[in-house]
Amino acid sequence: VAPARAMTFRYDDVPYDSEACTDAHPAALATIARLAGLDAAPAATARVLDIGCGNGENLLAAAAYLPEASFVGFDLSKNAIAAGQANALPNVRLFVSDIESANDLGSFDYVVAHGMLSWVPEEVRRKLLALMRASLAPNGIGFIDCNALPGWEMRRALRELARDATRALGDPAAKVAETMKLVSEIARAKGGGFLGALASAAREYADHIARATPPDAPFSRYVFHDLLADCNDPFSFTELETRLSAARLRLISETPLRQAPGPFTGPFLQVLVQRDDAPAPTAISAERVLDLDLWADFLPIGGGAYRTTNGAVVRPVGDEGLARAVRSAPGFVAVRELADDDTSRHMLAEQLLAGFREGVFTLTADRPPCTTSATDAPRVADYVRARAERAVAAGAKSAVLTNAIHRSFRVPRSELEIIRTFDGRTPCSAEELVDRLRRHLFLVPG
Amino acid sequence: MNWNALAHRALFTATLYGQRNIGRVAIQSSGDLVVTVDEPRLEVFPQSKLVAVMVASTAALAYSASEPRAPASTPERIRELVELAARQHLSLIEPELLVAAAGAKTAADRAVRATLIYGSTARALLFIETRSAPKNGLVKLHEERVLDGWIEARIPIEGLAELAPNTPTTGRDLLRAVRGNRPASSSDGPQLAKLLARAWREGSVELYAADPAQPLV
Repeated sequence: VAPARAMTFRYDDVPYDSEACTDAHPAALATIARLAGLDAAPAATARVLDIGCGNGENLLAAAAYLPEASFVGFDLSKNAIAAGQANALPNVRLFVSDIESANDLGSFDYVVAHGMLSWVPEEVRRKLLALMRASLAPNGIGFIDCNALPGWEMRRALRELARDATRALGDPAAKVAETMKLVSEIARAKGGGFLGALASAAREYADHIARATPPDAPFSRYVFHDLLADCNDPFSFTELETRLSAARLRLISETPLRQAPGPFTGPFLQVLVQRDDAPAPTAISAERVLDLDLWADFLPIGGGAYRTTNGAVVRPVGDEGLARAVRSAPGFVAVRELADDDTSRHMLAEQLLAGFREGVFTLTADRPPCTTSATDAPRVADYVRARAERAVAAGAKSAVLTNAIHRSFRVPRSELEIIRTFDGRTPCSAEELVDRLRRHLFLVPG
Repeated sequence: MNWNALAHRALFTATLYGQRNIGRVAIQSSGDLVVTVDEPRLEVFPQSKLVAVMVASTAALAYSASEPRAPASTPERIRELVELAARQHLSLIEPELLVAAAGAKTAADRAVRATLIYGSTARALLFIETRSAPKNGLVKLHEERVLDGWIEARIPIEGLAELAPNTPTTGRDLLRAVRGNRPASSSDGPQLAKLLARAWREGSVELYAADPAQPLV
């Protein structure tokens, strides 16, 4: 009881800046599951449970694009749930609960426990996995993440240093400021061996915090709930598998897929799991890529080269494969349609799977409900428009918006001003935009 | 537990921290320098004027397979040990930190940071009689003593190039090798000692106050 009380206080006192978790979206989970030969439910009509959902942003951002799907989330933090409920969508149910009281929730195609396993007390970990097992439909897919060994060891050293250095401070903002001061000092250290590795980890952490902290946040609440958290235990891959097995869950795969065979060495692990009585997964197969769609997000950059949203540069040659995908850009294209014969298709599938593992290409089992056609009265999802509207009304300089494939972008105020008008009724062609700017006296000579 | 290696490390630490007249090094019982570990958890410190509790950080033990190895400790436990020692009129002594020194005021602060930042698999927390302890446990390094002992490099040492010995070599022999054929300067010894002391604190060299070929305990 005591740890639960402490956590309620901490997350109510210092809200967590929840965002959509791209890899936990039902379509992303379905994609990996299908590559592993599993019959995962379509995202469009999926039933999704999010355990420890915070303010529900991960669910709300997905639900905004999947009106036929249903989403349930709960969290111990009253304030976080209240914030999520204020942005209610008809296909999302959010409620306050501890993990013990959250039972008989029904059967779900996807059960997500993002940012939970490492950060809750041991007793809650067992209940979390038990709830996931009990809530998964026979073919359901679970998503779990945790800090991972051995990659997290340097973070462990940073965490112990930070908690020790801030033990006498009460104010969360002061704790985070002192922590980041210490991290910066270590990041500047020169030396080899352990010190060099620790300094490198400190630099990586400082960079991550600089990128991840909202510009209008008073301090990094992520640091407070991660490095300085009362509970934060990493697990080795083997230990995670053992825990899953004890809960009658089976590991399907990591997500994103591992780039190369060998032991897992990263500091953070995300996995897909299933019930242990479900049909077992098979090895990831390139042939199954042919049943997926490719996001053709190729932006021409000259010289016959194209840049993807992920930052990769490709130079397609010939008529088939990526060259054909480039001609379909922007939008989604069925992989099978990108080549004309089995040999070419097989080579393309291998190429795309390798690129998918490296994060170069985006493949999906469920084409998202979005359009790339321009209209005179464009429409963005109501939830996104409302979020832009709220950010503008609050005078924010920017806001994080999530797209149809569950990727989040920090959008500047100037674009929020435009996005909030995209309701599908208000004309907003380029000419209309220019006309509005002219009428509002924004244009200057020259 | 490689007690002999732990004892060598404790003895060198005591020497570098300025402790003198260490005749007998003993494990967990009476001696001029008593070397112990916190496993099982120490309830009472050994009776001695000089006690070394060997600790390691969990991250360091996972990062490196190097010997010697002491049981992992935590910042909380290091602070508990300092309090436990204080009840027996023993005080921790620690030198100034090379990294992240700001805010580390007490010897316990410095011990916690040094253990975690330098990632030693076996670091001596050195306790001396409180009445002899310097203010805040801040001890000066006696680097000049480094060349009276033996040196064994674990990894290449910046500033020594190929001269870093991978088998135990006396400080005097190393100094001769460093000088080579060039004229000797009075600053050669202090410079080499300073460089080695720093490398030792960063964990890239093993230094000995006594011949490592001879068992210490």
